[in-house]
Amino acid sequence: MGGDDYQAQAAQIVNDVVIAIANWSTAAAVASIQWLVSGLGKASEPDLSVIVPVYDRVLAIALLLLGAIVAVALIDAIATGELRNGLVLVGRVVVACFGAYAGLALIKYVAGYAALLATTWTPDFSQLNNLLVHSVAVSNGVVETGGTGPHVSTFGLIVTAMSVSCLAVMVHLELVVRSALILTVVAFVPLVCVVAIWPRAAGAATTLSEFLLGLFLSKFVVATVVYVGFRLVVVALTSTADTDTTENWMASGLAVLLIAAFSPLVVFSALRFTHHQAGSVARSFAGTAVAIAPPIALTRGLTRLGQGMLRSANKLIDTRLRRRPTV
Amino acid sequence: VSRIFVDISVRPDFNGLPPNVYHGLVTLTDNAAAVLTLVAGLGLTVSLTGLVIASFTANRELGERAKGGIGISVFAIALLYVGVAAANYAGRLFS
Repeated sequence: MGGDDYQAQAAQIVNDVVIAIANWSTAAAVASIQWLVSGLGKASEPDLSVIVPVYDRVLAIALLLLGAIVAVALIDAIATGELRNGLVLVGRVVVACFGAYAGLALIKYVAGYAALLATTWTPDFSQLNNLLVHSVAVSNGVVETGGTGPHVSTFGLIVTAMSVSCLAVMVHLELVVRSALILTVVAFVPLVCVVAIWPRAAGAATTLSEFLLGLFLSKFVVATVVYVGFRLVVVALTSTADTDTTENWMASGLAVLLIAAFSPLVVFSALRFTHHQAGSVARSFAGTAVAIAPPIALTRGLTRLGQGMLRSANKLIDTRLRRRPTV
Repeated sequence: VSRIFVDISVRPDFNGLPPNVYHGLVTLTDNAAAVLTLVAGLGLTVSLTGLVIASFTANRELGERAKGGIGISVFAIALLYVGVAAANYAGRLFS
């Protein structure tokens, strides 16, 4: 009798611990996703009105340089014997002035739509969160009553919570860097527009516009990738039957979440419209922060120390072996 | 569309620039225009010389090229003025 009681108590404790871990993991995953979703909206968009004074100053500089750029372009045209196309320069001047004056307003317009696009999956994220919470509650009920039936994998919940938490932090860091990059780059728009009057420097405007477009669309790309991964994981976790298919979904979903967190460059290089340089720049800032972290330096130091010790031991053994008298 | 531009307005802030930066940039533009004028003047001189030589030697091809050179030299200066005028007009139009 005593053994049965002890067994029942132990089973109850194990059940309580499993339920607590499952609840904690679910809460962590849901909170991380909610935090991520709140960050994907307007909150992480740069406030472009802050840089209006800087933009005005750069615009003044660009207008002062405009004459010099036109003169240089004309000298270049004379030197290369292509002055017959010189009238095009007048058109370029008008377009450049429009770009310099209207650049900030146009970028703000595009930023609004980029923020809107990034919120495409917000209701779906909420539905998935509710589905996960509901399934875990049902599963807990099954475990508490000691019944046998479909239940959510606790290990899967733990892994999901960890990956989603990492993802939320990394994506937030990237969004901050993205916002800072947009604010920094936008300030130079008037100058680049005016410099682009010279046909040889027209590439600067193309590069800048591609870079900005890439930065704006990167948020939508990351939001979509996270949704794909989270959906796969939640569908696999809440599935009533454990089959090879659900296992594949779980593995694929976790892989997608980890790619979104640690290697979004793979996605950016596949989707050319986001100009993978923009993503890589935003990404490398976070990467640099990790690279200069003390654990990395400590690991390198330990590796060097280990190499040194091995070298010394090698020398010592070598010396002893040579000193050993031959029989 | 007008709401987009009313939402955030920009105006070149010439007064905010330090005087030495302002004068430096103006001088840079003047210098560039002066170089263009020099190049155009040199082209005009060379072309006129070529035209004279062509008339003495009755070289028709050289004469045509010299006339083309004169046109290009004058056209370049005119284009500079037209370009700056277009910039001023566009500045007033879009501000």
